[in-house]
Amino acid sequence: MNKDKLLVIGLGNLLMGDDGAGIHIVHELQRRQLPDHVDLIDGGTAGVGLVDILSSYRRVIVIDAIADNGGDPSGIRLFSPDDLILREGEGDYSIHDVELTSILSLMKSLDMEIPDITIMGIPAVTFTPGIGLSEGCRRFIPEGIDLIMKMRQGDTKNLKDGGNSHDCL
Amino acid sequence: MSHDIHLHHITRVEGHGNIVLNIREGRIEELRLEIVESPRFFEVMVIGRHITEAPHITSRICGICAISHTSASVKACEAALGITPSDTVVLLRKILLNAETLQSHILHLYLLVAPDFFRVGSVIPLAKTHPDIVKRGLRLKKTANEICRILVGRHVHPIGMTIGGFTKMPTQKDLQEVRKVVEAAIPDMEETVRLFEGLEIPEFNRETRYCSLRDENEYALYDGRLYSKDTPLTEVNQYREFITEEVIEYSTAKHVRSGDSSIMVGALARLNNNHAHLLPEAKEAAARLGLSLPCTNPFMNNAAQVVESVHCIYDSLRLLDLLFEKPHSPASLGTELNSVPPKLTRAGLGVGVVEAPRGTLYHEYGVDERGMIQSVNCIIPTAQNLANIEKDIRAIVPMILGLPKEEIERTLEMLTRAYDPCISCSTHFLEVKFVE
Repeated sequence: MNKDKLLVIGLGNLLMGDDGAGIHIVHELQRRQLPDHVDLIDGGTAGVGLVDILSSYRRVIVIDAIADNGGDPSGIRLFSPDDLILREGEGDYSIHDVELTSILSLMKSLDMEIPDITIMGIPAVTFTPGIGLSEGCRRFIPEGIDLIMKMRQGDTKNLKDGGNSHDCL
Repeated sequence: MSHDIHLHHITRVEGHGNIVLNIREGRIEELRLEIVESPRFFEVMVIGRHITEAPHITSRICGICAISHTSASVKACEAALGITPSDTVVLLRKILLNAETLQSHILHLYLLVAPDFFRVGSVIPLAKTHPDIVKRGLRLKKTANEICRILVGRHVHPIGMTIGGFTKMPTQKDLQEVRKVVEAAIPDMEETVRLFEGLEIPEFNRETRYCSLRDENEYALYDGRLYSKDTPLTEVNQYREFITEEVIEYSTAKHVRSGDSSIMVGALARLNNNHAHLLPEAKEAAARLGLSLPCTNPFMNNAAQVVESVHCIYDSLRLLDLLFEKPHSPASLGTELNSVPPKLTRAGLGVGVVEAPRGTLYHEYGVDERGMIQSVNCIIPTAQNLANIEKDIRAIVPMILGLPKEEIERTLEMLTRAYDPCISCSTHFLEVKFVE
């Protein structure tokens, strides 16, 4: 149980192009000095394994690729799982591959405690087989890393508000 | 009676696919199991890479079978390079394969099969009506996650498994932790057998060619030779003589045959071939589940998965005992190997075969003298079962034509699901729709 820690977890498939954006960010963060209260996990395509991982934390940042339906990627989006479900219904964008919403539905059905989750959506261009990010997606990686590094301790609301704080993790 | 049945995106299997079935006056006019997602060109991704990268790349093919892909990959690399891993390394790999088999079977049984059992649409309503059952499934899944985390550093995509061994060998303390985790799962496993004792199994039998690894000394998951009762034992590096692949026009996944027959791989095939090597606890579970071996009912693959889950738990304890007893030398417990690349001084062709949860998994790599991969062949279990699923459907449809449409649909879905297809590895699979 890691209830006092903040979990930063990247999701996606490294073999499916930009789908692996969240994993690329986690790998970059692994090269940096993060405080002890932050756990960093390369979640890959963990699927149902996420239930176990998410239920061990109170605060979680999920980094995943998002697919914009049409138009140029406009930037990193920060939202809660509730926003994600709503927006999926509107056909705006969706989390690709790993069905985070299904995992959360399962946890809710089992009356499990769901952590405070902030989803950092990295705009993705391609979800086709291939290793490495597209140019259109890669340009958002430094910003994603900065946003994580600028967060105040355990304050995910700060991240949702745009990550403007200069306090470091 | 006429039906045009399109089982479009069959639910509760891993991936997406269609069954197209046209029936005219009681005869099947057309039957196709279509794979609709474009194949993931994993093989191409490995070509041109250094051989040390192959296990890490292929571990990402599937979140459910990551240990199996990594194991087949390191074995293929070792065969190509002429490297023999230590006995200690092999024992640890066997424990990891047991863990993955357990978690994969448990996920299938509790999240995908159990909803049929309770006649609900998915695990979500099941979680509301029978939360204790779903939580038990998740606890057993966690058991496997924990074993992987302790031994190879991650819940999924095992970073610690590498050519020749592990980047860091576990300590005695790690192994004691693994033992506690495995022992703690025994009561839940016993309850699982009890739950599935009442599993509704349609009466349907069709003999086919059951293919798997076979080992003379133990229930084969990690090693052995290729076996079916109709073919001679075949060394894994001669696998092209054992099975052949063929391109099917309507499917992006190849079909596989052994000789003149479609084949079945996976839990039931392994039990049919190797049940003599099951541990006593697993044999007892088979008896309680009414699984008399050999068995030709594909629906019993679910029962076979329960039996293998029991075996994997007790076999892991057996393997841990061997590890504790072993005198440890070169690659001993607690050793830091620092991922030292092995000597890559020769060109070669290597084949690595393991029993993944869904069946036999083949990796073959050809490398040049610099260790660069020049050729790859990867055959996944689900592709091997596709032709057999079609044959089963062809055989069962005349038996169920008199049933209401919903029952036909449900039966065909259950049949397909019994094979536990993981089309995600090659493609995606199924939602059910009748078109009339």
